[in-house]
Amino acid sequence: MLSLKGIEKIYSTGSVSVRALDGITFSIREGERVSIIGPSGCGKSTLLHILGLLDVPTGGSLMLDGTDVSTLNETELAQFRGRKIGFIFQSFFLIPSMDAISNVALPMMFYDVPAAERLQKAQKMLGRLGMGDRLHHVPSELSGGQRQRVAIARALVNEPTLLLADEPTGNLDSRSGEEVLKIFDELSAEGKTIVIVTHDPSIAKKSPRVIRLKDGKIEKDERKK
Amino acid sequence: MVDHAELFLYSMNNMRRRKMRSWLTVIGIVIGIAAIVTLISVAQGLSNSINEQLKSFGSNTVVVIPGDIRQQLSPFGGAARPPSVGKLFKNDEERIGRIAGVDLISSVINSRASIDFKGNLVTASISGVEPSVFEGSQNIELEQGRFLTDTDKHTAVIGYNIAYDTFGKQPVQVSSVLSIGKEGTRFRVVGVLKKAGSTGSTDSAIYIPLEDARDLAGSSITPNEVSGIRFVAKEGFEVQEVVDEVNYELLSAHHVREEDKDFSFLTAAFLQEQVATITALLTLFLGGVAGISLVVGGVGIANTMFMSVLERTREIGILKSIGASNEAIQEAFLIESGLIGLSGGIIGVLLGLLFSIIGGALGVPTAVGIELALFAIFFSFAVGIISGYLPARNASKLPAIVALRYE
Repeated sequence: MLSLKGIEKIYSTGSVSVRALDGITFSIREGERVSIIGPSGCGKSTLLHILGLLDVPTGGSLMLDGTDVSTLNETELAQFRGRKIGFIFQSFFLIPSMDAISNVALPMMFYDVPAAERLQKAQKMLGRLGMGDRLHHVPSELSGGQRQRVAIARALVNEPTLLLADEPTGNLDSRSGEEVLKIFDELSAEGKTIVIVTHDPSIAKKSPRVIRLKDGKIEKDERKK
Repeated sequence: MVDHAELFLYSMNNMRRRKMRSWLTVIGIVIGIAAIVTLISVAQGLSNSINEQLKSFGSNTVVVIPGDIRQQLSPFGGAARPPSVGKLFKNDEERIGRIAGVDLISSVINSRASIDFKGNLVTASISGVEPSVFEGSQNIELEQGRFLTDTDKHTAVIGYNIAYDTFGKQPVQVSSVLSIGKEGTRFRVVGVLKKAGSTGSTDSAIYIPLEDARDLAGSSITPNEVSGIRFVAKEGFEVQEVVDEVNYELLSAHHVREEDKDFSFLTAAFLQEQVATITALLTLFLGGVAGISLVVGGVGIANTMFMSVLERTREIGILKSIGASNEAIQEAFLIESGLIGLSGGIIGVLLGLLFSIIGGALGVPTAVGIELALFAIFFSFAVGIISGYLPARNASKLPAIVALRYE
């Protein structure tokens, strides 16, 4: 369902150009759980942004759900992003002025979901993630683990086909991190396609497939039995 | 499709987050709009009040006065030539009277003289008229007493303000006696006119019989000279055609060409035209002055919106990452700036209305039409949108990953 062919990303600032990604080719099947690891500066975040259609590669092609995303215009990209991709970030990226339920309902604002249904869905999703009693707390009133659960609820609420996580436990203590990883296990068991970018080996260990990047290239792509 | 109502609430929410700043920005627009509404309402009120006065002039009434007023009245005319001085005489009246279409012709002698009423001395302008003809050509409404008659001598009819204002606490009434002129000729008041309007011309008028006025003027006018000749265009005649005939007759009588003519016509149409030109200029000028403050208000909106975009850069990235299109981002910010403009406009119009009412109570003629109010509100909304356009566009064009990385 996701396939990359010769993806390149070159950043040029004046006369200096940096090759962040250099010929990345791999594909991910539906329901697969993949960890992308590597030292910092290896291009793993750039790769995640390209997978999430937040960034555009300078070369190569990306097929998502049978669509060559390079053919989409900006508005279509935004729609694709909202419908097919759920993002989970290291620092949660919740909107600080909105309570949990509004944050979770937000992605549905950009589609034809009636307001009442939006809140209903958001509430259900938060309940599923054990946040049913924190619906009207703003992010500053929540712990890190709770915020990440709100963020996960937001990522899931549009029922995306691909879940992308960028160091999802990076800002959490180990217990909250464990809980978040447990959620990923559950989602994986339900058949969600998940790509996690991390430098935490313990997360990578749990993944059936690990792609190791180095200097913008794939160093290793291994599947565990 | 984005849910516009929800986007609206989102923008409202953002404004509420920065309440102080939003209100300060709104005030910038309020000042501009209130100034525009107030000043235009004054210009409009002035125009209305002058037109109201012109109504009493009568649409068929024509007054011939000495001198060429064209250059003096035209706001665009240079003062290249001094106005020709000329005089009108009783025989001019006779000539005009013979023209077909001229009716109710009479002469007027105007002069300024000192008037003494029970020890209060004022200087006012006095009109000597031919009573019966004047009464027939002018809409005269009396509060008390009667108008002058052709056989009257040393009698006066006075305007409302002369009766109740000019001489302080003591009202001048029917049977009161005014001493007029250097020699203190005694005039008995026989009538007081009804109040004409806020600054109505007849409110300050003093009418006396023509020959009395000639006596008062003494040597300042030559025998048979008059200050003006009034007539009415007969029913069925075009006012302008009659005026053209009279013009031709007087040109030949005075042996002058059109360019050098030494007399002028005052007609309702002519006066209205002059007033319209002047008030249009006044409106433009006052509106322009107030418009400057609105431009400043608009710059304030742009400033606020740039700040708003800057401090919400991260948020813009988040919205994009969860599926917000560039258009939705732009719309959100335009709603915000449009709302600032709109609320500024509504408050500004209300404030301007209040100022106009206060001004009206203080005697400044004002008029606020629904058109002016609606225009001002729409205009302020437009200012909001225009001022917000660039910041909103900047926000929408922010690359998502750049916005997300922003600290």
